[in-house]
Amino acid sequence: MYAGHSGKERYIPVHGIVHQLGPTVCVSLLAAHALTGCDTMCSMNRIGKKTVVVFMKGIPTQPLCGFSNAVVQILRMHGVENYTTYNVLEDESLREGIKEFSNWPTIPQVFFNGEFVGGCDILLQMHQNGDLVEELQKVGIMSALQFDETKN
Amino acid sequence: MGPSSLRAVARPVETRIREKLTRMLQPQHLEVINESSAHAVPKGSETHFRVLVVSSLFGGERGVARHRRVYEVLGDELSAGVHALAIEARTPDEWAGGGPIGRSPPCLGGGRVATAGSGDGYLVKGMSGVTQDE
Repeated sequence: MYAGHSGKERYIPVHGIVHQLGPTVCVSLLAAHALTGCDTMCSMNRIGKKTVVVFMKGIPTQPLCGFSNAVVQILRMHGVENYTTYNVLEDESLREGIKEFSNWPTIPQVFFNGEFVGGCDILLQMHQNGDLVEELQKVGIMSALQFDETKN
Repeated sequence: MGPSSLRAVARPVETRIREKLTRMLQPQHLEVINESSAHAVPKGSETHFRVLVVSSLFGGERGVARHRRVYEVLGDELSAGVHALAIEARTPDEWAGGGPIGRSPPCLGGGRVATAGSGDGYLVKGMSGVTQDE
């Protein structure tokens, strides 16, 4: 493919790059871009909506899966509402790509600062044992339940 | 053909899951629950499961690593038709003080059927131990 403006075109050998990267990496590229996207600077500075990323079925205001809904509810309980989500039901290649990227066969998938945290079961477990408050704190988010924990 | 063999034929995926987890993880306690009937799939499906595995092999591992171990054991089933697998993975010490296997949240259709409501009442145990039920 050609890219760039007139007089400054570049030829990018996409087929060659695909061949070099191999099928596994190529399948994961879409998911990896979704995680970092154009907000790379925000991710690197550990602020902004890319701090928490959830691959789910549906959207936070209308989840289409009970497990995805549980993740949304748990995050809401901790006061985490301004985060990035991707509805895998809208994009089959993203749905398969994220499973390949994280080596995790199910949806939902939760990431903090680009690091895989787990699915619904793990997030629920972390919420119940108090680990989620700590993990949110590590990425600069103060949980709404933080002071509840210190009272106990 | 005895009753257990008939059950194995009638529920082949559940039987395979049970056999594999038993053989590979040597569990002290194992529960395999087919939750497919609670989801938008045909009657008799074996697509949604919840497993409780209590094994000393989980010692020294945290949540993600434990779940990955279970996913690896059941890789073929997950590729073939098992659509959802909820996992509780505990060591015998953790299980000693534990309660019954948890339950999965209500199905919201997975985009295949129109659902009424948002399922906001799903059971989520709060920090204070108070549970909220639908």
